[in-house]
Amino acid sequence: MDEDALIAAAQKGDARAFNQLVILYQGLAYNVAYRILHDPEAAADATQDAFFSAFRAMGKFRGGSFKSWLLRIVTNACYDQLRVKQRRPTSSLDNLPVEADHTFYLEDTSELPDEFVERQELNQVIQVGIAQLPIEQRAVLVLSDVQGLSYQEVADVLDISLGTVKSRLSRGRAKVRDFLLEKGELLPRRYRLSGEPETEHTGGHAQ
Amino acid sequence: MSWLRKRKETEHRNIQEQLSAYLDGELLPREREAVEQHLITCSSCRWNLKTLRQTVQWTSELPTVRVPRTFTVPVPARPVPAPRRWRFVPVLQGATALVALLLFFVIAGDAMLTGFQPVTMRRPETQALPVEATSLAEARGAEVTATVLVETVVVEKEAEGLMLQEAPAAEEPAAEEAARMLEVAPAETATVIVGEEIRATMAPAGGGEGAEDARAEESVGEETVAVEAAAPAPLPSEPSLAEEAAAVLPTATTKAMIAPTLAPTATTEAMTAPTPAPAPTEVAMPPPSAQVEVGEALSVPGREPASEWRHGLKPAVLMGVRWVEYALGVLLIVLVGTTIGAMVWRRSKR
Repeated sequence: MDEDALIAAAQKGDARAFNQLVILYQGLAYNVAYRILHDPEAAADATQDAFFSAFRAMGKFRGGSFKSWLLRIVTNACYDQLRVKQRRPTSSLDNLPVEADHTFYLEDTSELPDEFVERQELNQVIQVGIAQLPIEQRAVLVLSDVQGLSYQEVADVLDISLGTVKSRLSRGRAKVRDFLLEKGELLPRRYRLSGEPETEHTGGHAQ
Repeated sequence: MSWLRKRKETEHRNIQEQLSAYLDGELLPREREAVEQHLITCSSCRWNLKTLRQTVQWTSELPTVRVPRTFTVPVPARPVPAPRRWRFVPVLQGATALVALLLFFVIAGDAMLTGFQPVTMRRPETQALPVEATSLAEARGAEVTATVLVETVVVEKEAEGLMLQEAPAAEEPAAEEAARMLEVAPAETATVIVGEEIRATMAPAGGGEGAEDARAEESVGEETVAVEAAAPAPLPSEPSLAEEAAAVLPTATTKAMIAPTLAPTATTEAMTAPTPAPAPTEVAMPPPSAQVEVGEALSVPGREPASEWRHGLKPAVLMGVRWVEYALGVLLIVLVGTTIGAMVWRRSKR
Protein backbone atom coordinates (compact mmCIF):
# COMPACT_ATOMS: atom_id res chain seq x y z
CA MET A 1 0.00 0.00 0.00
CA ASP A 2 1.37 3.41 -0.86
CA GLU A 3 1.43 6.34 1.50
CA ASP A 4 -1.74 7.97 0.17
CA ALA A 5 -3.72 4.77 0.64
CA LEU A 6 -2.35 4.37 4.15
CA ILE A 7 -3.27 7.95 4.95
CA ALA A 8 -6.77 7.45 3.56
CA ALA A 9 -7.23 4.28 5.61
CA ALA A 10 -5.82 5.93 8.73
CA GLN A 11 -8.24 8.80 8.28
CA LYS A 12 -11.07 6.28 8.53
CA GLY A 13 -9.67 5.14 11.87
CA ASP A 14 -7.62 2.19 10.64
CA ALA A 15 -4.98 1.92 13.34
CA ARG A 16 -3.07 -0.71 11.39
CA ALA A 17 -2.70 1.58 8.41
CA PHE A 18 -1.68 4.43 10.68
CA ASN A 19 0.92 2.24 12.34
CA GLN A 20 2.47 1.61 8.95
CA LEU A 21 2.84 5.35 8.64
CA VAL A 22 4.35 5.36 12.12
CA ILE A 23 6.94 2.82 10.99
CA LEU A 24 7.73 5.00 7.99
CA TYR A 25 8.11 8.22 9.96
CA GLN A 26 9.10 7.34 13.49
CA GLY A 27 12.82 7.60 12.71
CA LEU A 28 12.45 11.13 11.42
CA ALA A 29 10.10 12.12 14.22
CA TYR A 30 12.29 10.72 16.96
CA ASN A 31 15.46 12.28 15.57
CA VAL A 32 13.87 15.71 15.35
CA ALA A 33 12.61 15.37 18.91
CA TYR A 34 15.95 14.08 20.11
CA ARG A 35 17.91 16.95 18.53
CA ILE A 36 15.47 19.54 19.84
CA LEU A 37 15.14 18.10 23.34
CA HIS A 38 18.63 16.64 23.74
CA ASP A 39 17.16 13.94 25.96
CA PRO A 40 16.36 10.42 24.80
CA GLU A 41 13.49 9.85 27.22
CA ALA A 42 11.86 13.20 26.63
CA ALA A 43 12.31 12.66 22.91
CA ALA A 44 10.59 9.26 23.13
CA ASP A 45 7.73 10.77 25.11
CA ALA A 46 7.36 13.61 22.67
CA THR A 47 7.41 11.21 19.72
CA GLN A 48 4.78 8.95 21.25
CA ASP A 49 2.60 11.91 22.16
CA ALA A 50 2.99 13.24 18.65
CA PHE A 51 1.84 9.99 17.06
CA PHE A 52 -1.12 9.71 19.40
CA SER A 53 -2.08 13.27 18.59
CA ALA A 54 -1.58 12.66 14.89
CA PHE A 55 -3.81 9.57 14.96
CA ARG A 56 -6.54 11.51 16.71
CA ALA A 57 -6.12 14.43 14.32
CA MET A 58 -5.96 12.36 11.12
CA GLY A 59 -9.42 13.55 10.20
CA LYS A 60 -8.13 17.12 10.14
CA PHE A 61 -5.33 16.33 7.72
CA ARG A 62 -6.29 18.01 4.46
CA GLY A 63 -3.74 16.68 2.03
CA GLY A 64 -0.45 18.32 1.23
CA SER A 65 2.75 17.03 2.76
CA PHE A 66 2.07 14.45 5.44
CA LYS A 67 5.69 14.75 6.51
CA SER A 68 5.34 18.49 7.15
CA TRP A 69 2.02 18.00 8.92
CA LEU A 70 3.48 15.30 11.14
CA LEU A 71 6.64 17.28 11.90
CA ARG A 72 4.59 20.22 13.06
CA ILE A 73 2.86 17.94 15.54
CA VAL A 74 6.26 16.61 16.61
CA THR A 75 7.72 20.06 17.21
CA ASN A 76 4.60 21.06 19.13
CA ALA A 77 4.99 17.94 21.24
CA CYS A 78 8.60 18.99 21.87
CA TYR A 79 7.47 22.43 22.98
CA ASP A 80 5.04 20.74 25.36
CA GLN A 81 7.80 18.56 26.76
CA LEU A 82 10.00 21.58 27.36
CA ARG A 83 7.19 23.56 28.89
CA VAL A 84 6.07 20.82 31.24
CA LYS A 85 9.44 19.63 32.41
CA GLN A 86 11.30 22.90 32.34
CA ARG A 87 14.23 20.75 31.45
CA ARG A 88 17.17 22.99 30.86
CA PRO A 89 17.77 26.70 30.80
CA THR A 90 18.30 27.81 27.25
CA SER A 91 19.32 31.38 27.87
CA SER A 92 22.91 31.29 28.97
CA LEU A 93 25.84 29.79 27.23
CA ASP A 94 27.71 29.70 30.53
CA ASN A 95 25.67 26.95 32.16
CA LEU A 96 26.62 24.28 29.73
CA PRO A 97 26.89 20.76 31.06
CA VAL A 98 29.38 20.04 28.29
CA GLU A 99 31.96 18.73 30.71
CA ALA A 100 29.73 15.99 32.04
CA ASP A 101 28.48 14.99 28.61
CA HIS A 102 31.97 15.13 27.31
CA THR A 103 33.33 12.76 29.95
CA PHE A 104 30.38 10.49 29.30
CA TYR A 105 31.42 10.32 25.72
CA LEU A 106 35.01 9.60 26.65
CA GLU A 107 34.12 6.58 28.72
CA ASP A 108 35.76 3.42 27.59
CA THR A 109 36.65 4.49 24.12
CA SER A 110 40.02 2.77 24.06
CA GLU A 111 38.81 0.14 21.61
CA LEU A 112 37.44 2.61 19.10
CA PRO A 113 39.37 4.30 16.31
CA ASP A 114 40.66 7.73 17.19
CA GLU A 115 38.80 9.46 14.43
CA PHE A 116 35.47 7.96 15.47
CA VAL A 117 36.01 8.96 19.07
CA GLU A 118 37.00 12.48 18.10
CA ARG A 119 33.98 12.79 15.90
CA GLN A 120 31.78 11.72 18.78
CA GLU A 121 33.26 14.53 20.82
CA LEU A 122 32.56 17.06 18.12
CA ASN A 123 28.99 15.80 17.72
CA GLN A 124 28.44 16.09 21.42
CA VAL A 125 29.57 19.71 21.47
CA ILE A 126 27.40 20.55 18.47
CA GLN A 127 24.41 18.86 20.07
CA VAL A 128 24.89 20.82 23.25
CA GLY A 129 25.39 23.98 21.22
CA ILE A 130 22.06 23.37 19.52
CA ALA A 131 20.43 22.66 22.87
CA GLN A 132 21.53 26.08 24.09
CA LEU A 133 19.62 27.89 21.38
CA PRO A 134 16.27 29.52 22.02
CA ILE A 135 13.59 27.03 21.11
CA GLU A 136 12.49 28.86 17.96
CA GLN A 137 16.01 28.95 16.54
CA ARG A 138 16.60 25.39 17.65
CA ALA A 139 13.59 24.04 15.81
CA VAL A 140 14.54 25.85 12.61
CA LEU A 141 18.18 24.74 12.82
CA VAL A 142 17.32 21.11 13.54
CA LEU A 143 14.80 20.92 10.70
CA SER A 144 17.05 22.70 8.25
CA ASP A 145 20.61 21.68 9.07
CA VAL A 146 20.14 18.34 10.83
CA GLN A 147 17.21 17.03 8.80
CA GLY A 148 17.97 18.88 5.60
CA LEU A 149 14.54 20.43 5.00
CA SER A 150 14.33 23.34 2.58
CA TYR A 151 13.47 26.81 3.81
CA GLN A 152 10.00 26.43 2.42
CA GLU A 153 9.46 23.11 4.18
CA VAL A 154 10.68 24.58 7.46
CA ALA A 155 8.33 27.50 6.98
CA ASP A 156 5.45 25.08 6.37
CA VAL A 157 6.23 22.93 9.38
CA LEU A 158 6.60 25.79 11.80
CA ASP A 159 3.98 27.96 10.13
CA ILE A 160 6.34 30.93 9.85
CA SER A 161 7.45 33.06 6.93
CA LEU A 162 10.50 32.39 4.78
CA GLY A 163 12.11 35.56 6.09
CA THR A 164 11.67 34.35 9.64
CA VAL A 165 13.22 31.02 8.71
CA LYS A 166 16.19 32.83 7.21
CA SER A 167 16.84 35.11 10.14
CA ARG A 168 16.33 32.46 12.81
CA LEU A 169 18.60 30.09 10.98
CA SER A 170 21.27 32.73 10.52
CA ARG A 171 21.30 33.55 14.23
CA GLY A 172 21.14 29.95 15.29
CA ARG A 173 24.06 28.92 13.10
CA ALA A 174 26.13 31.83 14.31
CA LYS A 175 25.48 30.87 17.91
CA VAL A 176 26.43 27.25 17.34
CA ARG A 177 29.55 28.41 15.54
CA ASP A 178 30.40 30.71 18.46
CA PHE A 179 29.77 27.85 20.85
CA LEU A 180 32.19 25.66 18.91
CA LEU A 181 34.77 28.42 19.03
CA GLU A 182 34.23 28.82 22.72
CA LYS A 183 34.60 25.09 23.43
CA GLY A 184 37.33 24.69 20.88
CA GLU A 185 39.92 23.73 23.43
CA LEU A 186 37.81 20.64 24.28
CA LEU A 187 37.85 19.48 20.73
CA PRO A 188 40.50 17.65 18.81
CA ARG A 189 42.72 19.97 16.81
CA ARG A 190 41.23 19.04 13.47
CA TYR A 191 37.75 20.10 14.61
CA ARG A 192 38.81 23.46 15.96
CA LEU A 193 37.59 26.40 14.02
CA SER A 194 40.33 28.89 13.20
CA GLY A 195 40.36 31.28 16.10
CA GLU A 196 40.23 34.79 14.73
CA PRO A 197 39.26 36.37 11.49
CA GLU A 198 42.00 38.32 9.76
CA THR A 199 41.91 41.92 10.83
CA GLU A 200 42.48 43.51 7.47
CA HIS A 201 38.89 44.63 7.47
CA THR A 202 38.50 48.02 9.09
CA GLY A 203 34.74 48.06 9.42
CA GLY A 204 32.56 48.10 12.50
CA HIS A 205 33.42 44.52 13.28
CA ALA A 206 36.10 45.60 15.76
CA GLN A 207 33.56 47.42 17.88
CA MET B 1 33.99 60.79 5.19
CA SER B 2 32.12 59.41 8.19
CA TRP B 3 28.93 58.88 6.18
CA LEU B 4 30.86 56.52 3.89
CA ARG B 5 32.22 54.65 6.89
CA LYS B 6 28.74 54.34 8.35
CA ARG B 7 27.36 53.13 5.06
CA LYS B 8 30.05 50.46 4.90
CA GLU B 9 29.28 49.36 8.44
CA THR B 10 25.60 48.97 7.64
CA GLU B 11 26.41 47.03 4.51
CA HIS B 12 28.77 44.79 6.47
CA ARG B 13 26.07 43.95 9.00
CA ASN B 14 23.55 43.22 6.29
CA ILE B 15 25.99 40.97 4.49
CA GLN B 16 26.78 39.14 7.72
CA GLU B 17 23.10 38.38 8.18
CA GLN B 18 22.83 37.11 4.63
CA LEU B 19 25.83 34.82 4.78
CA SER B 20 23.73 31.95 6.12
CA ALA B 21 21.24 32.20 3.27
CA TYR B 22 24.11 32.72 0.86
CA LEU B 23 25.50 29.38 1.98
CA ASP B 24 22.22 27.73 1.11
CA GLY B 25 21.83 29.51 -2.21
CA GLU B 26 18.65 31.13 -0.93
CA LEU B 27 19.47 34.69 -1.98
CA LEU B 28 18.14 36.60 -4.93
CA PRO B 29 20.71 37.08 -7.70
CA ARG B 30 21.09 40.76 -6.83
CA GLU B 31 21.67 39.96 -3.14
CA ARG B 32 24.11 37.21 -3.98
CA GLU B 33 26.09 39.57 -6.16
CA ALA B 34 26.26 42.12 -3.40
CA VAL B 35 27.50 39.48 -0.95
CA GLU B 36 30.16 38.29 -3.34
CA GLN B 37 31.31 41.87 -3.96
CA HIS B 38 31.54 42.44 -0.23
CA LEU B 39 33.42 39.21 0.42
CA ILE B 40 36.22 40.31 -1.89
CA THR B 41 37.09 43.18 0.35
CA CYS B 42 35.96 41.95 3.82
CA SER B 43 38.17 39.33 5.45
CA SER B 44 35.97 39.28 8.55
CA CYS B 45 33.01 38.19 6.44
CA ARG B 46 35.16 35.67 4.62
CA TRP B 47 36.12 34.15 7.99
CA ASN B 48 32.52 34.34 9.07
CA LEU B 49 31.36 32.52 5.97
CA LYS B 50 34.06 29.90 6.29
CA THR B 51 33.29 29.05 9.92
CA LEU B 52 29.55 29.07 9.28
CA ARG B 53 30.00 26.71 6.37
CA GLN B 54 32.06 24.39 8.56
CA THR B 55 29.48 24.52 11.33
CA VAL B 56 26.62 23.75 8.97
CA GLN B 57 28.66 20.92 7.47
CA TRP B 58 29.33 19.35 10.84
CA THR B 59 25.76 19.83 11.96
CA SER B 60 24.44 18.09 8.89
CA GLU B 61 26.75 15.19 9.63
CA LEU B 62 25.29 14.53 13.03
CA PRO B 63 24.48 10.84 13.08
CA THR B 64 20.93 9.60 12.92
CA VAL B 65 20.04 8.20 16.31
CA ARG B 66 18.39 4.84 16.51
CA VAL B 67 14.77 4.74 17.57
CA PRO B 68 14.66 3.28 21.10
CA ARG B 69 11.32 1.59 20.46
CA THR B 70 8.41 1.66 18.07
CA PHE B 71 5.81 4.35 18.52
CA THR B 72 2.83 2.55 17.05
CA VAL B 73 -0.57 3.27 18.48
CA PRO B 74 -2.52 0.39 20.04
CA VAL B 75 -4.69 -1.48 17.58
CA PRO B 76 -8.06 -2.62 18.93
CA ALA B 77 -7.94 -6.40 19.30
CA ARG B 78 -9.47 -8.04 16.21
CA PRO B 79 -11.77 -5.21 15.28
CA VAL B 80 -13.30 -6.91 12.25
CA PRO B 81 -14.45 -10.35 13.52
CA ALA B 82 -15.94 -8.97 16.72
CA PRO B 83 -18.89 -7.09 15.22
CA ARG B 84 -19.54 -9.98 12.85
CA ARG B 85 -20.01 -12.27 15.83
CA TRP B 86 -22.43 -9.84 17.46
CA ARG B 87 -24.51 -9.61 14.30
CA PHE B 88 -25.17 -13.36 14.49
CA VAL B 89 -27.63 -13.17 17.37
CA PRO B 90 -29.93 -10.46 15.99
CA VAL B 91 -30.25 -12.47 12.77
CA LEU B 92 -31.29 -15.54 14.78
CA GLN B 93 -33.75 -13.49 16.79
CA GLY B 94 -35.23 -12.03 13.64
CA ALA B 95 -35.58 -15.44 12.02
CA THR B 96 -37.26 -16.81 15.13
CA ALA B 97 -39.73 -13.97 15.23
CA LEU B 98 -40.44 -14.36 11.53
CA VAL B 99 -41.09 -18.10 11.77
CA ALA B 100 -43.28 -17.59 14.85
CA LEU B 101 -45.30 -14.98 12.99
CA LEU B 102 -45.63 -17.22 9.95
CA LEU B 103 -46.75 -20.15 12.07
CA PHE B 104 -49.31 -17.97 13.81
CA PHE B 105 -50.85 -16.84 10.54
CA VAL B 106 -50.95 -20.34 9.09
CA ILE B 107 -52.62 -21.71 12.19
CA ALA B 108 -55.02 -18.78 12.35
CA GLY B 109 -55.93 -19.29 8.71
CA ASP B 110 -56.40 -22.98 9.27
CA ALA B 111 -58.59 -22.37 12.29
CA MET B 112 -60.76 -19.84 10.49
CA LEU B 113 -61.22 -21.95 7.38
CA THR B 114 -61.62 -25.39 8.85
CA GLY B 115 -61.97 -25.07 12.57
CA PHE B 116 -59.18 -27.58 12.90
CA GLN B 117 -61.28 -30.29 11.41
CA PRO B 118 -59.24 -33.46 11.52
CA VAL B 119 -58.07 -34.83 8.24
CA THR B 120 -59.01 -38.45 7.89
CA MET B 121 -56.63 -40.63 6.09
CA ARG B 122 -57.53 -43.21 3.54
CA ARG B 123 -59.11 -46.25 5.02
CA PRO B 124 -59.08 -49.77 3.75
CA GLU B 125 -62.12 -50.42 1.61
CA THR B 126 -62.95 -53.59 3.46
CA GLN B 127 -63.55 -51.43 6.49
CA ALA B 128 -65.40 -48.77 4.64
CA LEU B 129 -67.73 -51.03 2.85
CA PRO B 130 -69.69 -52.46 5.75
CA VAL B 131 -70.11 -49.00 7.22
CA GLU B 132 -71.42 -47.74 3.95
CA ALA B 133 -73.61 -50.69 3.53
CA THR B 134 -75.09 -50.34 6.99
CA SER B 135 -75.65 -46.65 6.64
CA LEU B 136 -77.18 -47.21 3.29
CA ALA B 137 -79.48 -49.73 4.78
CA GLU B 138 -80.45 -47.38 7.57
CA ALA B 139 -80.87 -44.39 5.36
CA ARG B 140 -82.82 -45.99 2.62
CA GLY B 141 -84.79 -48.65 4.23
CA ALA B 142 -86.51 -51.29 2.21
CA GLU B 143 -87.91 -51.54 -1.28
CA VAL B 144 -85.39 -49.45 -3.14
CA THR B 145 -83.74 -50.83 -6.18
CA ALA B 146 -80.33 -49.89 -7.37
CA THR B 147 -81.74 -48.19 -10.41
CA VAL B 148 -84.19 -46.21 -8.36
CA LEU B 149 -81.34 -45.25 -6.17
CA VAL B 150 -79.46 -43.91 -9.12
CA GLU B 151 -82.52 -42.10 -10.29
CA THR B 152 -82.98 -40.62 -6.87
CA VAL B 153 -79.39 -39.49 -6.92
CA VAL B 154 -79.85 -37.66 -10.15
CA VAL B 155 -83.17 -36.20 -9.17
CA GLU B 156 -81.99 -35.13 -5.75
CA LYS B 157 -79.00 -33.56 -7.23
CA GLU B 158 -81.02 -31.51 -9.58
CA ALA B 159 -83.60 -30.68 -6.94
CA GLU B 160 -81.06 -29.46 -4.42
CA GLY B 161 -79.38 -27.46 -7.13
CA LEU B 162 -76.03 -28.80 -6.27
CA MET B 163 -73.68 -26.77 -8.27
CA LEU B 164 -71.46 -29.10 -10.11
CA GLN B 165 -69.73 -26.23 -11.80
CA GLU B 166 -68.54 -24.78 -8.55
CA ALA B 167 -67.63 -28.09 -7.08
CA PRO B 168 -64.12 -28.14 -5.71
CA ALA B 169 -63.50 -31.28 -7.66
CA ALA B 170 -63.19 -29.07 -10.70
CA GLU B 171 -59.49 -29.57 -10.47
CA GLU B 172 -59.95 -33.17 -11.28
CA PRO B 173 -60.52 -34.13 -14.86
CA ALA B 174 -62.65 -37.04 -13.82
CA ALA B 175 -64.94 -34.79 -11.86
CA GLU B 176 -65.17 -32.38 -14.76
CA GLU B 177 -65.97 -35.18 -17.05
CA ALA B 178 -68.61 -36.36 -14.68
CA ALA B 179 -70.10 -32.93 -14.39
CA ARG B 180 -70.20 -32.54 -18.14
CA MET B 181 -71.80 -35.88 -18.60
CA LEU B 182 -74.34 -35.23 -15.92
CA GLU B 183 -75.20 -31.86 -17.31
CA VAL B 184 -75.44 -32.95 -20.88
CA ALA B 185 -77.04 -36.32 -20.47
CA PRO B 186 -80.68 -36.49 -19.50
CA ALA B 187 -81.38 -38.02 -16.17
CA GLU B 188 -82.95 -41.03 -17.79
CA THR B 189 -79.90 -41.76 -19.84
CA ALA B 190 -77.69 -41.57 -16.86
CA THR B 191 -80.01 -43.75 -14.96
CA VAL B 192 -80.17 -46.23 -17.70
CA ILE B 193 -76.45 -46.37 -18.05
CA VAL B 194 -75.85 -46.78 -14.40
CA GLY B 195 -78.71 -49.09 -14.09
CA GLU B 196 -77.33 -51.24 -16.84
CA GLU B 197 -74.02 -51.13 -15.23
CA ILE B 198 -75.40 -52.31 -12.00
CA ARG B 199 -77.41 -54.91 -13.73
CA ALA B 200 -74.34 -56.04 -15.54
CA THR B 201 -72.47 -56.11 -12.35
CA MET B 202 -75.09 -57.94 -10.50
CA ALA B 203 -75.88 -60.35 -13.22
CA PRO B 204 -73.00 -62.67 -12.63
CA ALA B 205 -73.03 -62.14 -8.92
CA GLY B 206 -76.62 -62.16 -7.92
CA GLY B 207 -77.80 -64.58 -10.57
CA GLY B 208 -81.28 -63.93 -11.99
CA GLU B 209 -82.32 -61.35 -9.48
CA GLY B 210 -83.66 -58.26 -11.27
CA ALA B 211 -82.47 -54.92 -10.20
CA GLU B 212 -85.94 -53.44 -10.28
CA ASP B 213 -87.37 -55.99 -7.94
CA ALA B 214 -84.59 -56.12 -5.47
CA ARG B 215 -85.44 -55.09 -2.00
CA ALA B 216 -83.09 -52.74 -0.22
CA GLU B 217 -81.75 -55.09 2.35
CA GLU B 218 -81.36 -57.79 -0.12
CA SER B 219 -79.86 -55.53 -2.72
CA VAL B 220 -77.38 -54.10 -0.29
CA GLY B 221 -76.45 -57.52 0.72
CA GLU B 222 -76.13 -58.56 -2.85
CA GLU B 223 -74.09 -55.52 -3.67
CA THR B 224 -71.67 -56.16 -0.87
CA VAL B 225 -71.32 -59.64 -2.03
CA ALA B 226 -70.88 -58.36 -5.52
CA VAL B 227 -68.11 -56.04 -4.50
CA GLU B 228 -66.38 -58.72 -2.56
CA ALA B 229 -66.74 -61.04 -5.41
CA ALA B 230 -65.62 -58.42 -7.86
CA ALA B 231 -62.07 -59.51 -8.28
CA PRO B 232 -62.72 -63.13 -9.13
CA ALA B 233 -65.82 -62.22 -11.10
CA PRO B 234 -65.85 -63.62 -14.59
CA LEU B 235 -65.96 -61.43 -17.62
CA PRO B 236 -69.41 -60.15 -18.44
CA SER B 237 -71.08 -61.87 -21.32
CA GLU B 238 -71.35 -58.65 -23.26
CA PRO B 239 -68.07 -56.83 -23.47
CA SER B 240 -69.71 -53.69 -24.86
CA LEU B 241 -71.88 -53.41 -21.83
CA ALA B 242 -68.92 -53.89 -19.58
CA GLU B 243 -67.03 -51.24 -21.43
CA GLU B 244 -69.91 -48.88 -21.14
CA ALA B 245 -70.11 -49.54 -17.48
CA ALA B 246 -66.42 -48.95 -17.13
CA ALA B 247 -66.79 -45.68 -18.97
CA VAL B 248 -69.45 -44.65 -16.55
CA LEU B 249 -67.39 -45.80 -13.66
CA PRO B 250 -65.44 -42.58 -13.09
CA THR B 251 -68.60 -40.65 -13.35
CA ALA B 252 -70.25 -42.63 -10.68
CA THR B 253 -67.20 -42.39 -8.45
CA THR B 254 -66.93 -38.68 -8.95
CA LYS B 255 -70.57 -38.28 -8.20
CA ALA B 256 -69.87 -39.80 -4.87
CA MET B 257 -67.11 -37.32 -4.33
CA ILE B 258 -68.87 -34.18 -5.31
CA ALA B 259 -72.18 -35.00 -3.80
CA PRO B 260 -71.39 -35.91 -0.24
CA THR B 261 -74.86 -35.17 0.96
CA LEU B 262 -75.94 -38.00 -1.19
CA ALA B 263 -73.04 -40.06 -0.14
CA PRO B 264 -74.96 -43.17 0.83
CA THR B 265 -76.66 -43.36 -2.48
CA ALA B 266 -73.85 -42.27 -4.64
CA THR B 267 -71.32 -44.40 -2.93
CA THR B 268 -73.45 -47.35 -3.43
CA GLU B 269 -73.03 -46.80 -7.07
CA ALA B 270 -69.40 -46.12 -6.60
CA MET B 271 -68.91 -49.24 -4.66
CA THR B 272 -70.95 -51.18 -7.07
CA ALA B 273 -69.20 -49.77 -10.03
CA PRO B 274 -65.78 -51.23 -9.39
CA THR B 275 -67.22 -54.65 -9.88
CA PRO B 276 -66.87 -54.75 -13.61
CA ALA B 277 -63.76 -52.63 -13.53
CA PRO B 278 -61.27 -55.44 -13.44
CA ALA B 279 -63.12 -57.18 -16.23
CA PRO B 280 -62.17 -55.11 -19.28
CA THR B 281 -58.44 -55.10 -19.04
CA GLU B 282 -58.05 -52.28 -21.53
CA VAL B 283 -60.18 -49.84 -19.60
CA ALA B 284 -58.31 -47.78 -17.10
CA MET B 285 -58.97 -48.21 -13.47
CA PRO B 286 -60.56 -45.31 -11.65
CA PRO B 287 -57.96 -42.76 -10.66
CA PRO B 288 -56.41 -43.51 -7.26
CA SER B 289 -57.33 -40.10 -5.96
CA ALA B 290 -60.92 -40.80 -6.73
CA GLN B 291 -60.63 -43.97 -4.73
CA VAL B 292 -59.23 -42.09 -1.81
CA GLU B 293 -61.99 -39.59 -2.04
CA VAL B 294 -64.54 -42.33 -2.05
CA GLY B 295 -62.91 -43.86 0.96
CA GLU B 296 -63.00 -40.56 2.74
CA ALA B 297 -66.52 -39.86 1.78
CA LEU B 298 -67.42 -43.24 3.14
CA SER B 299 -65.60 -42.69 6.34
CA VAL B 300 -67.86 -39.85 7.30
CA PRO B 301 -71.16 -41.60 6.91
CA GLY B 302 -74.20 -39.42 6.83
CA ARG B 303 -73.36 -37.16 9.71
CA GLU B 304 -70.68 -34.66 8.76
CA PRO B 305 -69.97 -34.90 5.12
CA ALA B 306 -71.19 -31.36 4.45
CA SER B 307 -68.83 -29.72 6.96
CA GLU B 308 -65.97 -31.69 5.55
CA TRP B 309 -66.29 -29.76 2.35
CA ARG B 310 -67.48 -26.44 3.60
CA HIS B 311 -64.01 -24.91 3.80
CA GLY B 312 -63.45 -25.64 0.17
CA LEU B 313 -60.14 -27.33 0.74
CA LYS B 314 -59.37 -30.72 -0.62
CA PRO B 315 -58.10 -33.09 2.04
CA ALA B 316 -54.77 -33.19 0.19
CA VAL B 317 -54.45 -29.42 0.49
CA LEU B 318 -55.54 -29.58 4.08
CA MET B 319 -52.93 -32.22 4.71
CA GLY B 320 -50.34 -29.95 3.12
CA VAL B 321 -51.36 -27.13 5.41
CA ARG B 322 -51.07 -29.42 8.41
CA TRP B 323 -47.63 -30.50 7.30
CA VAL B 324 -46.56 -26.88 6.88
CA GLU B 325 -47.78 -26.20 10.40
CA TYR B 326 -45.84 -29.13 11.68
CA ALA B 327 -42.65 -28.16 9.84
CA LEU B 328 -42.90 -24.54 10.98
CA GLY B 329 -43.40 -25.70 14.55
CA VAL B 330 -40.31 -27.86 14.44
CA LEU B 331 -38.30 -25.04 12.81
CA LEU B 332 -39.50 -22.62 15.46
CA ILE B 333 -38.42 -24.94 18.26
CA VAL B 334 -34.98 -25.35 16.68
CA LEU B 335 -34.62 -21.61 16.16
CA VAL B 336 -35.66 -20.74 19.68
CA GLY B 337 -33.15 -23.23 21.03
CA THR B 338 -30.37 -21.93 18.83
CA THR B 339 -31.14 -18.30 19.64
CA ILE B 340 -31.15 -18.88 23.36
CA GLY B 341 -27.94 -20.86 23.06
CA ALA B 342 -26.28 -18.08 21.07
CA MET B 343 -27.37 -15.44 23.55
CA VAL B 344 -26.10 -17.43 26.50
CA TRP B 345 -22.82 -18.05 24.68
CA ARG B 346 -22.42 -14.37 23.91
CA ARG B 347 -23.05 -13.43 27.52
CA SER B 348 -20.53 -15.96 28.73
CA LYS B 349 -18.02 -14.57 26.19
CA ARG B 350 -18.35 -11.15 27.73
